[in-house]
Parts: sequence; structure tokens; C-alpha cells
Amino acid sequence: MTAIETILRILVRISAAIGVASLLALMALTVVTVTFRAIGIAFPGTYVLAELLLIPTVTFALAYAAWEGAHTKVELLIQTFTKCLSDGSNGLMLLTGTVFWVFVAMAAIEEAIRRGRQGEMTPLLDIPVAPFRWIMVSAICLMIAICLLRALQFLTGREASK
Amino acid sequence: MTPILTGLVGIAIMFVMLAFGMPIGFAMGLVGVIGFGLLISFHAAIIKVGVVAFDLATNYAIGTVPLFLFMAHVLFASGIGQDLYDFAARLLGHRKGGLAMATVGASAGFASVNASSLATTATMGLVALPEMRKHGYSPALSSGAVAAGGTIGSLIPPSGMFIIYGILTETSIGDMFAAGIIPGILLALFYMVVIGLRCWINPAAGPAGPRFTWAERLAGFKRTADVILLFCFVMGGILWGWFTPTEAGAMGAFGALIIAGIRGRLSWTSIKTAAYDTLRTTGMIFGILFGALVFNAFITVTTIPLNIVGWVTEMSLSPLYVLLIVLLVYFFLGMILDASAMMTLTVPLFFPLITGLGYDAVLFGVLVVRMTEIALITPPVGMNVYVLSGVARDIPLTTIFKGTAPFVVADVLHVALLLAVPALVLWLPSL
Repeated sequence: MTAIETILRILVRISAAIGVASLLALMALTVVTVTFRAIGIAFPGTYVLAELLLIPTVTFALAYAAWEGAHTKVELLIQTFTKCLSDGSNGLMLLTGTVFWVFVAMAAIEEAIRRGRQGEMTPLLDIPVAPFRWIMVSAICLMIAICLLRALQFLTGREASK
Repeated sequence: MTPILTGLVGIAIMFVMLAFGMPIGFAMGLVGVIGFGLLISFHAAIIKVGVVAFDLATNYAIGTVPLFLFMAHVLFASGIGQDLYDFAARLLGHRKGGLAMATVGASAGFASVNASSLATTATMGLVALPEMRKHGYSPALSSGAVAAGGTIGSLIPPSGMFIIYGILTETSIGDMFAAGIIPGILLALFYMVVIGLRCWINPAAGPAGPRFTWAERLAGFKRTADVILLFCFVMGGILWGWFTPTEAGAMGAFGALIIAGIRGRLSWTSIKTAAYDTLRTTGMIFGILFGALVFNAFITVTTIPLNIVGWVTEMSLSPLYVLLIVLLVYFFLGMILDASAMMTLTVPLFFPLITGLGYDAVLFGVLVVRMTEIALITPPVGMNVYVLSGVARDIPLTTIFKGTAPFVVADVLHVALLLAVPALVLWLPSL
């Protein structure tokens, strides 16, 4: 489990760095767009680019939040449990909840294959969308892997390393 | 099983899973996708999930979330919370209860660059609470003011809760931001009146602090002027149509970087911390939103919202009476659910009903956010109280809850005022 955690940590670091870079790029792109628009110069297609940049920002953010254990939960009941019981409950619930993300991953893969075959391009700029769809798939798969690891750590009573 | 029964069973299962610690977005998404699969087909459910996920991740409007969060985190790193409190304390600290009033004022100011009530509470807990205690304020008044002041964070834009509501109901986020300004300022005034009354009844609860000269007050103002200007630029830009809320977020984040640079607090470490904190909070919000939108689709096919509308129409209740019942439901739900869960779970059910009765979507949004914020200071969940308790470990939870009780009364009066005079909410968005 330690080896898997190490591999996932490296993947999370890389993906989070991509997410942060996309966020900064999104900010810079939007500031440039607004500033130039104010002086009467418009760049067609910047909205499309911004929408594409949102994909890595949002989806890698999901994986990063999972790694940090930041996904919001209601703890009113489980905080009254003993540690062993609350860990078991947390682990089981995380494992069950991950099924939703498996559905999301399946849907995203199906869409990526179907749209990829159709040669999906963005309007105005004609950028292929397929790589961004696969970025989304990889981020969700990473999130599933993280959730499974954390669930197993809860169930076996092991602490997640910092 | 009928669609309605499937929906009710789904909601019940979701509550059980939430109670046992499943992350909110996961529980909503799981119930949503399985319920949709049972009612329509699993192939349709997969297609629906795929469409919802990609549409959400590429929706230009949702860029508001990470960009405003980044602005907040950068400004937080530049120490603006302390400066805002110092300025407010110099202005009001010499009055009885003045430091508590300053806390409320600084919370409102901090909320203008911060999207979260919890962050406002945590910051003011660190900045204002030690000052008030040093000046002999009662633990109940001081902690109550900090916890209640934090709730202003969700009314004064940019507000995370308004963004979530806007995405869930397809209401203009710019309108929601504009709608929150007057109620937010009014709420701060309501809280200050509560503090004044408490100190009038019991002067020992909030003794007067030292008086500052106008020159010292002006010096305090100068340290916050840059952030006040940034807020005016960002909100003015949205109100006057210079840019969209997403663009406003980007301009605000960029402005925050410049301010942090000018203040000499922009380092590689602070940018990195702000960016990664933004990523974590963005993931947290989108984890809920992904699940909520799938759950929303499921609830729609169960026809529960339609049936609620039909049931209420048959009962011939007055719209105001229905709205009051809904707000009462929020008040009690807030005692067991956290704010984001409450909003994402209930808005799909109540939104069609309330807007169908003729209430404005923006007004309902502000009222919902108000109710979810009241939940932050009412027992037993009261997240603001727990956050504050983490900051001030020696103040018992019961003392903080006692301290927030008078503010809850002010909250109820504030909601009543918004209901009585909707123009307070709807005037700015109509400009």
C-alpha cells in the first residue's frame, strides 16, 4: 500500500501542478482579453480557450481535494463513534461513494471515444477537443484511485501519510 | 415502484449515507445516477452523467469559482484581515462593545474579498478575538460576534454560496452578487445594534477601548484603501457591465496579486500556497456540484417537484405562507446539515415551487443563502462555531452558542425585513 501511495502522491503532485498552471493561464488569458477589449481590440476564440483551460483546473482540483481529504461530509453522527467504528464507516462510505465516480469515468470514456471518432473540434479556433476529454478521464481515474486508497487506509486503520 | 416512491426512497438512502460519512457530492451523485438508471435506463444515466460532467467542467460561468477563490487566497496571504480589523477597531473601538462592532464591520469588509463564511470566521477568530479578550470583553459576546460576523461572508460578494445557487438554478451569478450587497450591509448594521443593546444591558460585557485620533484612523484607512478599491472595481465592473462575473474573478485575482506585491507580501511560497488552497477548495465545491447536478436530474424525473407544486396549489395556501414554511424547513434542516449540503439537496425541490408561486429567483436565492448561513451559528452543527472553537480552544462550545443566540434573533428579523421589502434585494440587480 505504501508503494501505491508513493506513486499516487507523485501523480497528484504532477496533476495538481497542471491544475495550478491552468488556473494561472485562465486568469492571464481573461485579463488580457478584458484589457484589450477595453481598448477596442478583440481576440476571437478566447472564450473557447478559457473553457478548455477550465477542464484541467476543475478535474485535477477534484483529484487534489480527494488526496487532501477535503470533500465535504456530514460528521454529526460519525464523530460520536469510536475511532475504529468511525474509520470503518468512513472507509465503507468512501468505497461505496466511489462507485459514482466510476460511472462518471465510464461516461467520460464513452464520450471521449465517440467524439474522438467524430473528430470533435472547438468552434472558431479548430482546436481538437479529444486531448482535453482524455485529461478529464485521467483526472477522474486518478480520483477513483485516490478514493480507493483512502478507503482501504480507513478500513485497515492505517493513517494517510502527510 | 412509482417514480415518486423511488425518489423518496432515494432521498432516504442518501440521508443514511450522509449520516455515515459519505462525502456529500458522492452520495448525491450515487443516488442520482442509480435512481435515474432505475427510472429511465442505465444507459441513459451514463449518457446523462457524461453530458453533465463535461458541461460543468467547460461552463465558462463556473470559472468564477476558482478565480474568485484565488483572489481571496492571495489577499488572505497578504494579511488583509488584520488591516481591516485594525481600521474598524480604530473607528469604533472607543465605544462600548466597539471592538465587537469592529469585528462585524471587518468581517463584512473581509467578506468582500473572500468567498467563504468559514474563512471569515477563522480569520477574525485569529485577529479580533485576542484583542477583545485583552480588553475584557465577555467570552460570549466576543465569540458570538466573531461567529455571527462570519455569516456575512456569504451575502457580500463574491460569495461561494451565490455561485453554487446560480449554477444549480441557472440564475445570473452577477445578479446574485449585486443582490447580496444591501442585505449584507444591513445585516452588519443589525449585528451592531445587537451588540449595542447587549452592552447597554450589561456594560461589563464590552468595555470601551482606547480612542484614536482622526490621523490614526486615516492611517488605518490607507492600509485598507487598496482592497476597498479592488472590491469597488470588481463589483462595479459587474454592475456596470464592463465584464462578466468570470472576467471579474480574473481581474480581481490579478488585482490581488498586484496588491500583495505592493504590500511586499508576494513571494513564491505565498503564491504557491494560495494556488494550491484554491485548487483544494475548487475540488471541494465541484465535488458537490457534480453530484448535485446528477441528483437534480434524478429528482426532476421522479416528478417530486411537480407534485409538491400540485399539492401546494391544491391546498390553496398563500404564496407568503408557503415561503415561510420553506424557510422554516431550512431553519430546522440547518440544525443537522451543513450549508452546502442543505442548499444542493433542497434547491432542486423548492426552487420550482417558489418561483412557480411568483417569487423572484434572485430573492429566493438570497433568502436560501441567509437560511443556510443562520445554520452556521445554530446548534448542533453550527460550523462557524466549530471553526471558532478550533481557534479559541479555551472557550466552551456552549458559551459560543449562547453568544450567537441574540444574533440569530437579529437574523430572523433581517430575513423578515427582506421579505417585507424585497426591493432591498432586487433593486441593485435591476440597475
